[in-house]
Amino acid sequence: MNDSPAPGAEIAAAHDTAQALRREIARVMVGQDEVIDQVLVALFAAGHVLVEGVPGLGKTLLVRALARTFDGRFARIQFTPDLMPSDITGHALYDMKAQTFKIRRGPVFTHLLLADEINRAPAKTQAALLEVMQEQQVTIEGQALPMDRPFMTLATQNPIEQEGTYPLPEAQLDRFLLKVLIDYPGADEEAELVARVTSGQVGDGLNVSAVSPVVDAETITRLQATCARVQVDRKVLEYAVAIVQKTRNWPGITVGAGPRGGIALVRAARAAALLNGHDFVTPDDIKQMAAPALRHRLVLSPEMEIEGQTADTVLAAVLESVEAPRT
Amino acid sequence: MTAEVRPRLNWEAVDLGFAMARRWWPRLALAWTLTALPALVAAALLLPDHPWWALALVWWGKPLYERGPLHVLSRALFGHLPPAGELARALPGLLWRQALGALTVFRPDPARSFNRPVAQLEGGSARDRGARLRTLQRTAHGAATALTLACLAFELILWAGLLALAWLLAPGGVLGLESGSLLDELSATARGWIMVLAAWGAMAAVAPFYVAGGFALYLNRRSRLEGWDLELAFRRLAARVAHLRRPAAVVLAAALVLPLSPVPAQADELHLLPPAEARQIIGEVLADPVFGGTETVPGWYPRKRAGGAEKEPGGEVDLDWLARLLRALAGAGDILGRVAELLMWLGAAVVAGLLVIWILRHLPRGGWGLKSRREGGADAAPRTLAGLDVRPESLPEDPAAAARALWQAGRAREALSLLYRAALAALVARHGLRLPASATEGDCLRAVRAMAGRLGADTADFFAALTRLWQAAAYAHREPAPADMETTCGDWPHHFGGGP
Repeated sequence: MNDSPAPGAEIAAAHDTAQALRREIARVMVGQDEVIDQVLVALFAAGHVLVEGVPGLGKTLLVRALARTFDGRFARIQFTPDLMPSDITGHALYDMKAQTFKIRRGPVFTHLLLADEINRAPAKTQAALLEVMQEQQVTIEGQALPMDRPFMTLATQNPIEQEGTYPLPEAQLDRFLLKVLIDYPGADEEAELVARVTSGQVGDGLNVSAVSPVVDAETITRLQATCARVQVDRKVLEYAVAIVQKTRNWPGITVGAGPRGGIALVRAARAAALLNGHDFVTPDDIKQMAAPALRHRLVLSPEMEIEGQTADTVLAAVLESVEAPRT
Repeated sequence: MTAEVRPRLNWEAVDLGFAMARRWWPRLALAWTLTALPALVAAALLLPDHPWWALALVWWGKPLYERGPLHVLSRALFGHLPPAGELARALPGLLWRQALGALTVFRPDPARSFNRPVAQLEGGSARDRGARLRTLQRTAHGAATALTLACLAFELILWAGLLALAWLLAPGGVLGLESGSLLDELSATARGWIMVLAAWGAMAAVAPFYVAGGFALYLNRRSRLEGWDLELAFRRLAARVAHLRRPAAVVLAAALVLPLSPVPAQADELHLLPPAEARQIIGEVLADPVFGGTETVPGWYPRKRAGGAEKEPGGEVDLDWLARLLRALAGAGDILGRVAELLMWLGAAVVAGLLVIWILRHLPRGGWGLKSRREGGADAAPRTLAGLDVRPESLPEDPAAAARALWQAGRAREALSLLYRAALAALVARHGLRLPASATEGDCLRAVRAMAGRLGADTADFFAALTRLWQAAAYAHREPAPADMETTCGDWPHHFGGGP
């Protein structure tokens, strides 16, 4: 499966880096440790994240803090119904003086892209962004422009206010590695958060100055390479596939996860293993990443939705029914 | 006479009853309400907190409320619809007669609507009534029972319909989909009373039809059995004739009847006949097919025990016993006894079946006898865990020594597998650890840490270290360090030792 397993020292270094990133982000992002972990997993696995949560839970803060930890560039696009594909990717402009077309790059040319409320833009615009995510390049006027590495999109969705939105089609949801649910912090953590934001600060602007860069973009790219070499035993791989297959014939799930779901699950589990500090994937890593990696790839049957079941509760039942690998 | 009385099929008769009920509906409903409403109020006052008991009480009194409507029907049939005042005066007398029997022994009677007219309208002693009922019921009992069942079904449907209507029309909320309906905010007792009221309404709606149906069945049965319709026709004729002038009537009757029939003349002669001759003529008349013949009706009658009718052992072929048996069967004992016996056996079979099911369900999973005893307290313990066989039988006596031997033979992975498995088996067997088949190593470790208080912190730590070694060997294909292996094998008996 793996050509050359990553040496222990490299893994240890990667783990240290991951811990440092986690620590730095946690300085400004209080009470969302699981969200931070999952976003880091997506970063290491070179995937994209769909974040779902009500407004005001620090999604922008998270992205800005993450960008700052590796001194990366950060761009934010607020999706609106009149947003055009060229507003994202860029366009060609005729230069009168030089009498040539000049290409103006869009905001997508960055390291971390926050696509805020992605479901507010029409399908055409969504598709443009999702294409960039998949191809890692933009074609303008027949000219292919590669994206900078690392490139990661964090798209957000609001679970309430569904009016006037364009829900992402299943095929496009599939392109996100993880779907992260962001929820309100606990009472203590929220008090801590309010204290931090209000003390010695003018206005309520986001203050990420507490975050100091720990690595550079180059290191992140190397980390991604290391992550790709984390060892996956055949049995563990089969376990992941068994989970994905079980979602296809589970009562209460109309459409299960496709093969891309299994791929995402193993990729995410690799990064999770790295984050947990070992150089091999265990069934626990698979289990841990099953919900974020698969929850947006399932279509629940109407009965289950009427009963108030969510993809997470159904997935928990699926995991409960799949036997852990035999060795 | 307000209804045409003639022999009908039973179902047609019930239909006639329903037509009567429709015709005199207000008065019948009033007669029912005059007794049933006070009963409902009394029950409500008596049991304000127990609507269902109150409903049961009201329901139990149903035979009493049906007497008023029957009274109205019996009068209305002859053209006199009793006004409310007269009805109210008649009711007390109607209610008390035979009330105790109606509410106790005869309450479950399925042919109540048919039997009541016999008691209420014909009177007579209890013994005569019994004999008469048996005669009347011979062909009408089934129809009367069916009528009762049909009316019961209608009552239930109406009840459910009224309730659904109440819940649908109550402000706020949609039936079954969201709470917040006005009715949902009521207390359970108040909701119970709404249901009782609906039930009472359903009973009130159905009762006149029920009573009238039974009454019509009764009329029909009498017409068939006794030619009551003919009797009524003669009475009508007599009444009409009485209106006419006497002489004219006699002349007319003579003119009509005399040339047609010799009967009046014969009647004069018969008065003079001696008894012996008369008996002979009676015999001739009875034998005439026009008068009617005998009819064989098979049925169940009490068995007459013939003394000394034992079977003959050996002997020649004798079909007498068969004839006796058939006769005994044909006249076999009262149906009630048979039915009761059958029910008793059925009940016994059901009880025995339930007992067997209960025993099977409460038996230890392992089965019977020795095997289940050997498995002892761990009867429901998992056999496999995370794909590992953790049954005590599958493990060697001394896992640590066996693991050490495997390790020295260069099979470190199997050695660690054995140690990990044996540790889990010990936890399962001795500490009641319960884990599903989907439990991963991490799940096991969490469960063990949760039991650290019972196991001791160092055992939990040892298990954690063992898990790490095992995971590295299984999923990273990494050989454990000899020192680690040495300490693990050495410490294992200390934590999980002695074999399970």
